[in-house]
Amino acid sequence: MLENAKITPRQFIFVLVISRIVIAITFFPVFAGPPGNQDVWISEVLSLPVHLLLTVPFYLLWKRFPKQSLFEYTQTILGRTGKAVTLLYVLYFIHELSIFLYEWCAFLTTAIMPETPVLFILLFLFPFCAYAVLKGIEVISRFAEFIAPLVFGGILVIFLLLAKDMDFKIFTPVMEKSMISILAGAFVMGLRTSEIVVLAILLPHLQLNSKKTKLVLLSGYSLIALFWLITTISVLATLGIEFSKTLQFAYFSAVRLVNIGDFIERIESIHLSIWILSGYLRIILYFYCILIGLSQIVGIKDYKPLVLATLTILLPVSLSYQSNISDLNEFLSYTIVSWVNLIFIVVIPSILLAVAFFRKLGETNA
Amino acid sequence: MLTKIIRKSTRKKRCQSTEILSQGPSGIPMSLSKKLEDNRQAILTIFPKADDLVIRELTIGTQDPVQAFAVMIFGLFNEDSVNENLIKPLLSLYDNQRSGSPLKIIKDSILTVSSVQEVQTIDDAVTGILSGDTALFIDGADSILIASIRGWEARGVEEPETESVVRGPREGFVESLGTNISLIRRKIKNPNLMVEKVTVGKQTKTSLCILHIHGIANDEIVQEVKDRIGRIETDSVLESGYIESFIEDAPYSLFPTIGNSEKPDIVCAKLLEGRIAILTDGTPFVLTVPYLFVEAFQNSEDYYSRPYLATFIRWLRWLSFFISTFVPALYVAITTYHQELLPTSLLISIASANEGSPFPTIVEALLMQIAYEILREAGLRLPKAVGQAVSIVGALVIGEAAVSAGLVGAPMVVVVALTGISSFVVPALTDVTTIARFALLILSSFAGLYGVMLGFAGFVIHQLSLRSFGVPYMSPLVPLSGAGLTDVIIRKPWWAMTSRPPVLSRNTTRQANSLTPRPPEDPGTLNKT
Repeated sequence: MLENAKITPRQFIFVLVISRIVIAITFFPVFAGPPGNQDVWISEVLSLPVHLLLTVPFYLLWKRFPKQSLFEYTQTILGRTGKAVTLLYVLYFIHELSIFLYEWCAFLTTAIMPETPVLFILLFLFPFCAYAVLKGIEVISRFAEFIAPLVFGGILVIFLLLAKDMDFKIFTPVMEKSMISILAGAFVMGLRTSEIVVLAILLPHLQLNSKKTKLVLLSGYSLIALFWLITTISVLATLGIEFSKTLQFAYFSAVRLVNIGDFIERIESIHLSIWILSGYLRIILYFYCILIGLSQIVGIKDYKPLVLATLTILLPVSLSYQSNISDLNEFLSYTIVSWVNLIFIVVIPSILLAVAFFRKLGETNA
Repeated sequence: MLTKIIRKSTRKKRCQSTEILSQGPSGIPMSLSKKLEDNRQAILTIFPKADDLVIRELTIGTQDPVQAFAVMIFGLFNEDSVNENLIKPLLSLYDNQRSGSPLKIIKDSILTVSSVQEVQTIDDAVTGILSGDTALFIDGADSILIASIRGWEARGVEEPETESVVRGPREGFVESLGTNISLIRRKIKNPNLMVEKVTVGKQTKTSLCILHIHGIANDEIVQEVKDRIGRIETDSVLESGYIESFIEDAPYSLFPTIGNSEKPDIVCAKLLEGRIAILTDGTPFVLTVPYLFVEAFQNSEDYYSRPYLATFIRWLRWLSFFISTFVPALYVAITTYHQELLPTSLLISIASANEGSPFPTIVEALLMQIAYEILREAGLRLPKAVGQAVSIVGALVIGEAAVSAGLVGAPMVVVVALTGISSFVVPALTDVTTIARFALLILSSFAGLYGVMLGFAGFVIHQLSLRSFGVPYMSPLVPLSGAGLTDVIIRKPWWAMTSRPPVLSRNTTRQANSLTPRPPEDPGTLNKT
């Protein structure tokens, strides 16, 4: 690992969970794949074992190289060509970050600041990102621990406030489509989780034995599944299926509906604040991963000189992603993105694992 | 080229002023001579013009009288004590039938002074004279006697104005180091209370004392404090704030990482938790190290009253901190960019109030905040007689008149007043809230709620990266420590506080577990009627 930072298990869990939850409360992408009806909640519960399954290649790689992050053991295993694989992953992170920046700007310009140009939103964001990333991963994980009560509390409070508007009959008939469709939906949902790759980079900072790491991963994924379930129920039960499918920002619209006795209303500012904070965490996390990867490729010990250069690259890339929204939506539909993520989360690590096994590299516990 | 020459010439001048004091005209430090006349000449040369220097010539003894002179500075020595305990015994009690050199006889048997030392060089004697001691030069002796008989006018122990309490001791530190240490010693009667004296400041030679309780405080932190103070090389140390700025962890940060207090009970409580106190001669403000962010919200009065009100007041302090930092920025952001977030009736009343105002909200907010800061600063310096009248003028006339003239909107005045009052609830963070408030105001004027939230995130990231002498600044909030939180979010009653904060001390057991107070089994045994 590049820095000598130490992340506590709680911080690790919160980093992963919050950066995953923010997707749920922005675009609510549960209807992008099968089963596409009221059984999505079963898919979400089943996404827990799917996540665990998908983490296996990276987990085994971590067990072989406990002190090295993803970008380091590609080089240990493959030698010089490892840098090409590192570059692939860096491009993958830039891609994921640009997609999220598109969602960030889309939400802001639609929901609260319609007259603000996208360029300003991004340019205003970048100094804060640079500052946070320059402080290092320890501060980023402490920030996750800091905002975790706000984010979790906010989502639970919104769930409770929406309780009176919920109609649970919407979930019947249960298992309308076959179990296979639901399982496929679980797989698709699990495959969207690019945080598994982030995990591979953060695990060496955790410095725990394998038993505790398994517990940490399990609790992280269960929290993710739990909060996705809560947001899904909040949205589906309140808005119904058709609106949840067609509205662009389903969760935000659900929050707007809260009206308790004409007194507690217009609480979208709560949603907005937790969304900005958790989205900010996701952005600085991915930005950090990009910087670590780039510094590994270039071969320097400290990534601080690369911050400005990376921001300069990120700006036009994310703007270009936003110029063609229909292409982006087609990409994000489950057929294409599942295969892309499959390559990066399962295929490449499995190849690395196989090569490490045959070349007898890394620690193998007897 | 020119700047190099200028720098070289000023460097020589600067060096000359910081050379040691006792150098003769030829620049060689003067050593003690056996001849009394040489020593007197040396003293008169070291002090080129000191009309308050008192040199008392003495002829000691009747048979084979010994010549001597005593040097002291008028105003720094206790006249009565010097007369009674130094000069009188020398003139009447000297008996050269005792064995030993005159110096030894005088030091061991004649001087009725509790603290007498021997020094070998004139330099040390001059340091002592300038601190208020009396130096005794004896003819033919090879060392100088320093008798510590200091006495000067000093302020008495009284309640500090900045930290007044309803319940609790009202003693406050004074400017004299000895009195301050005695105030602490009277509260902590533990021989493990280590008191280490250091001198800093080339011209002022200020004495510092570093206090900690051995066994509770963390030894590495104590060593770090001593190292940092040892590195200070400056001209003058007039206040503990000088020391603070030399040893703090984050000199460019907005947030203080070293705490200070004027009250002995607060400093003793912090010492007992495992912190280190630094006392400075000449100021009543004592530094405590390490300092955490949550300490600003803890007040000594909380601990002397019952836990319920104390907990409520603690929540109120957190709320006031957020109000005084965020409310102006949020007001500007919401009324300028996000009017849809307000309930309709509130929106209508704010809109109608802002109708006649010529300035945009942000300009109004900045003007009113600056006016408030001017009023507050002026109020500190006003003579008491005029203070009341002028504050009424400021509040009523300016606020009321500005609103009726249509210069600012009425909600703005409410916001400024609320902000101002809340900023005094947490006095330790006043400078933080003021600067943060202005920064967030400007951010909110650019980007509305987005700017405020990002500004908040930026400040939080900055705070999370700070450490105070190795301890994370935001413990026990982050990294979360349940045991530490009981003293932050609530105020646990004393019978339940069984451990010290683990982040400060390894010796965490403070008291036994079963101290819950309860009446006897059968209450009738106490009240036999």
